[in-house]
Amino acid sequence: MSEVSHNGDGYVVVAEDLVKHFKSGTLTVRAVDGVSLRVQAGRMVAVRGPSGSGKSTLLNLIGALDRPDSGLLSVDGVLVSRLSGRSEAAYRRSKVGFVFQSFNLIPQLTAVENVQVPMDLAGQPRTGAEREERARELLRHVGLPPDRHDRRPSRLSGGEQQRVAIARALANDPPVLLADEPTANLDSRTGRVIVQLLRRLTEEGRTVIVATHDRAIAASAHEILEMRDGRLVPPGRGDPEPA
Amino acid sequence: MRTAGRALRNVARSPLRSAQLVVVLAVSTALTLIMLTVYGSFGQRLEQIKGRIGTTVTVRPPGSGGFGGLAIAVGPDATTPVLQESDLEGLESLEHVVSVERSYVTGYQGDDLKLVLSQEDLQKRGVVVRGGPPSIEKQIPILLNGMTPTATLTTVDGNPVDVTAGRALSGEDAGRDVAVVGLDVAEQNGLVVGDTFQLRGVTLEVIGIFDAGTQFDNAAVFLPLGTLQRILDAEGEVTQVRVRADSTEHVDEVEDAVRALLGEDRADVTSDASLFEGIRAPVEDARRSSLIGLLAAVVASGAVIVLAVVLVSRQRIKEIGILKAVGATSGTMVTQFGVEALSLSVVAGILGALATFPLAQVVADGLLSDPAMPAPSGSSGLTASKGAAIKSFQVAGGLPGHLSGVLPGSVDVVVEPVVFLYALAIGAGLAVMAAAVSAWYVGRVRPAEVLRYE
Repeated sequence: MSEVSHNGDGYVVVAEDLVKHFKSGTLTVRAVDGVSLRVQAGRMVAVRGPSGSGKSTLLNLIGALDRPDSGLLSVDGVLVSRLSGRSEAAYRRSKVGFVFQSFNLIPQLTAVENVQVPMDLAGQPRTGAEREERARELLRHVGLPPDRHDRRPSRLSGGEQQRVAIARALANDPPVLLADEPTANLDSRTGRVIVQLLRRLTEEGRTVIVATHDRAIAASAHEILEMRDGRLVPPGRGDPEPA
Repeated sequence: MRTAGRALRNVARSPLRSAQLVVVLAVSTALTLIMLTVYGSFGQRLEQIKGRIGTTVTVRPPGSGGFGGLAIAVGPDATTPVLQESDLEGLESLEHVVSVERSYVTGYQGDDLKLVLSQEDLQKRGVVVRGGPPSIEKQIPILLNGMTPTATLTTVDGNPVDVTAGRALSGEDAGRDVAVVGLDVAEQNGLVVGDTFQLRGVTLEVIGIFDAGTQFDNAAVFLPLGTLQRILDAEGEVTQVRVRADSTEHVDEVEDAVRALLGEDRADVTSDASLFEGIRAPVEDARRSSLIGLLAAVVASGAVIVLAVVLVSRQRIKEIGILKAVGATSGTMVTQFGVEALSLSVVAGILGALATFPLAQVVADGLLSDPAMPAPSGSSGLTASKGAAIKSFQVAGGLPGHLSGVLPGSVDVVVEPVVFLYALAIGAGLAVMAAAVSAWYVGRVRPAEVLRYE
């Protein structure tokens, strides 16, 4: 894995002139168009903007779910923009956890098994029993009652599924948690609970980057980044002050 | 190991999908194994047939019966088609010829020797008796077989006979008035070794008694060729010549040389090889069909697994995306899909192998079309007419006895337990194919693309 050090300046995520364009027929969609940013460790950052502004693509690039066309991106000392193949997979396993809007749990696995998958892939902890114990601990940590641990996703509510997804994202103890519209499929009360949970994770020293168009979530963040047409713009008038 | 465990759990947790795939794969695998087994059985049968092709080229008078046939005249007015020995000169010196055996075979029906079979015995042997009212017993002709004394005693079909008393003819018996008599002829005429009997005024000594196993084949008397020719006033005449080639590879060459020497209109020249063409052809046709079936089954199995993997991969593309998003490598995914495919195809292979046992014979019988061959010699039709009308009978329409049992009416398919090993090999092959397809498919999946659309 390519490494660059950012320990000195305290930034865990550094992007320089990051570009990602898509071809759509004859049109070129400038999803991320020269984004530069720096995120300090232990902060919750909200990336806000309307649909199509490029916030999900930015998170995908940070999470190595997609590759930038150009620019530099480093996360926790890893030069993500130069990863490929096994090093890219290793980065996804150890450096970032991803929480999706629609949870994206594997339907044939139980809650505890879904949380175990990243640990199985990493081979840590060493034994299956240890991994299961850690998975149950994580599920308890995110507030999923023990009687739900062995249920499949289809037998869990939306909020419970998102808790499982957050536990899975935390499975390998990554320094960065990426959440793409984590409350979009939840009712407002459950959404608030999930936001509080994400915010609480930053108190453990984790960095949380949330893509959202929900003002309430943004209000909970330490910092808000506004995106328009693939670019970061200054926060608009009337936006809440960062907490 | 963790990946394999996850793969097996996936298989177990999707019982309907797994069962559907197993059924389709089991059918394909069964077809492959059945065709493989049937192909092997046909191959063994062909080898068996080839192994029984003799090195004999048979020369008979023209029109005396082309397919193992032998026209035998009976009675004082009958005329036996013959070859003149003077026409046969030069056979011994043909290339690849190791021996030439002449014989004179004719039927005898008279007072010197008698053989009577009951109507029931005749009917048991499928003999159709035409003309006149049924009678209780029938006198049947006795075959007089004048042979080269050094040759092996055989029935007209070519089956060797057992000398049960006395001895067979030998080289010293050439021209002597001696005979080896069939068991039924000996019993009905009260003859034992050392006795004498009259045949057309010549006194013959019984030096041996043989048992060929059937009453018809025992209705014969072997004499030295020269002795029979003298008795019948048929010096210089023979009814059959057996020319032996030095190897099966040279039979065709010898047959052509004999035909060229004697001329097409002076003799019918046949060989085991030409007789076997009629037997071998349907087996080879069936074998070819089974090979085509085998290839089709293999292609079908491959197509099934490829389509199944593509279909399953498409159905599970989100799962692939999720796994890659949480850190699975393409190799891990391919291993998982490979293990899933292996477990399904092994189960399908075992089921397919089990299905092979009852179905292989059915398929073989279906592939082997009715060769429309004449009946084996053991049941050859002996057609007799009543009284004076009984002038001849034809021991025809059958293969020589040493070739009997190779008719391809059915091929016994023996399914060996090794089919389970083949099934495992097929399963492994299919799994490798599935892994290759999934590797191609999984490698193309970008998590951001498949997880973008909810």
